[in-house]
Amino acid sequence: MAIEISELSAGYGNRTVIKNVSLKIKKGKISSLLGRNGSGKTTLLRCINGFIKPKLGRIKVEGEDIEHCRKQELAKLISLVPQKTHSAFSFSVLDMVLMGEASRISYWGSPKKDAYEKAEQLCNDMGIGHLVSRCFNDLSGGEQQLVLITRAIMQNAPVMLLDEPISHLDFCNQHKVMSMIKHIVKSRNVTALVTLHDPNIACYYSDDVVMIKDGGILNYGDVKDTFVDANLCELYGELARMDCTTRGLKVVVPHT
Amino acid sequence: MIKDTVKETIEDVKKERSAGFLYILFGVLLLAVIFLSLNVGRYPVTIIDAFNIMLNKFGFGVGNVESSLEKGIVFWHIRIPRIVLGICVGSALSVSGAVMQALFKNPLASPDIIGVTQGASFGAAFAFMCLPQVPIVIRISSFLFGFLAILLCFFLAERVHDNSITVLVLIGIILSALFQAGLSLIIYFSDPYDQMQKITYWIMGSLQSATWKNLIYSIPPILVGVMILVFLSWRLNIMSQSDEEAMSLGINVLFWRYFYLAISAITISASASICGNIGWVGLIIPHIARMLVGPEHKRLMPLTALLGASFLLLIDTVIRSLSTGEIPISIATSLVGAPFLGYLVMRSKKEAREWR
Repeated sequence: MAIEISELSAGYGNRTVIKNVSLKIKKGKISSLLGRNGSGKTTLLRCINGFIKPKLGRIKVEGEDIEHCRKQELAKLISLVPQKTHSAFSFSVLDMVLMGEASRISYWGSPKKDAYEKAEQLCNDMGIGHLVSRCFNDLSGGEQQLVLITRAIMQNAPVMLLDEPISHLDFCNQHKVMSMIKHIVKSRNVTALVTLHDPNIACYYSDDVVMIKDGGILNYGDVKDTFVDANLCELYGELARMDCTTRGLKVVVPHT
Repeated sequence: MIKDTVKETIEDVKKERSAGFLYILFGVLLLAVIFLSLNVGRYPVTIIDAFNIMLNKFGFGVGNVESSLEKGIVFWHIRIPRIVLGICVGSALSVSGAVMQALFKNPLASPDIIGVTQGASFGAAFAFMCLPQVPIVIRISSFLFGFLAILLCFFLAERVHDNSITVLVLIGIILSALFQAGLSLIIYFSDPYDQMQKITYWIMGSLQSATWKNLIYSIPPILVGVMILVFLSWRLNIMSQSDEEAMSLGINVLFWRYFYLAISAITISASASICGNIGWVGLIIPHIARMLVGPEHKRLMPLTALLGASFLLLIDTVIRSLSTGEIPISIATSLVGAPFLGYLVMRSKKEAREWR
């Protein structure tokens, strides 16, 4: 298992957002976290990447208990792609990608020539080679997201957490970014845990789905088994149901 | 694809070269300002004089020995200490400014954002009012109160169990206001014919107290601080990202935030303890450097140090040659700095966009 969570409770101050969650995420798969706003998706990701200390419970990533991991060691296990970032300074794309090398650099060091070469190669692989000297803040939302994903790959961690990576992107960029994530997971044998809002995107691109409601796990399993009317009804109320297109593709549609 | 890669690589090589070229250019500029500073003043020492004095010092005397002796005193005991102080304080303030801007993720942050400068001013005024009027006592008091400000900042942040940037800024504002109020109170109760003048002049900043005796105590912490900040600058790139991102990239955000703040506070306090308050240098110099080499801190910091040193030395040279009584240096840096920042905002759309 890539991530093992047992009896996890976490939150902010006195408020508990995640309540007694136990979950196992399989290696080398895309697992989507689906849930309504405020259901605890981002809080769960923040617990896994060590940003929030759990009140109760344990999290193991690649067999390592993250409570005993130093930040530098944790960064070698987990990389994070934030929802959106805006840098206060106009860093170039190459500078942004090179930040992914931080966990392997000594206190007084900085990226060496081989890191620059690796970053450039990764940018080319991700199709953003032409942007390396452009200012990150000037890029479009889709391009920024690809840069952040490239930075996460630069970290070379076996687990990648993506917090709503496509929520502010247009249709084309949503599919471009998700295809890229799928390609990375397959080609680099990375485990991706992605929080998503669109059940259709989750249905189309994920291997497994975790449905979260009110800080607890509603359902977890293979896409085919999880995306059924009963589960959707439980997650979204009476608002959603499964349907099938003329080409045989399963889709989630509003209940009318 | 290959064509693109080659093109980008060439551009990067060019960028690296241009940073190297800028270091050389501004290194030469600093040398030029040093020679100008030696030469300008009520007792000029030309480059040839400086050369002769150096030769005399090492026993190869040439030319008029008596004149050389007089100039030697001016050279060794007035000009050189002042130049050394100007270079060190200029680079210290500008490098600390760049660090604060990265840590607070705000290009408008300056070294006095956490109340260190106000603490140092209060410390000096307190010493003028309550402690023996010995220069070293005033400097130590100023340094200690400057450092006390950062300790209080850390302590209060721990007490509220929140080490976020917003809380640190708020604590900085509170501490600055308290030290400012304390300073005003001391000025109010001070003797208007003696203490008040001294305090006011000290607050406005000056490089006048540059003597070897003073420099021995003040320069080591400034130099060590600047060197640490320049050598450990790459991580500032990551510290300028959000806390969650920085942490997920493998940085112990809290440790590095306190580390950079503590080193900057020592550097600023040591500078303020010998020169008083010098505003604007820490705000505008990193901006100019950023316009020249971009925001990447490993390239930015050395240039910031070079530019800051040249700027403060040039300003000091100009003010000490303008009138017989020296204009406090903070007035001059504000007079130059404020309009220059306005000019930058209007001219550079790119820079202006960063502040929004």
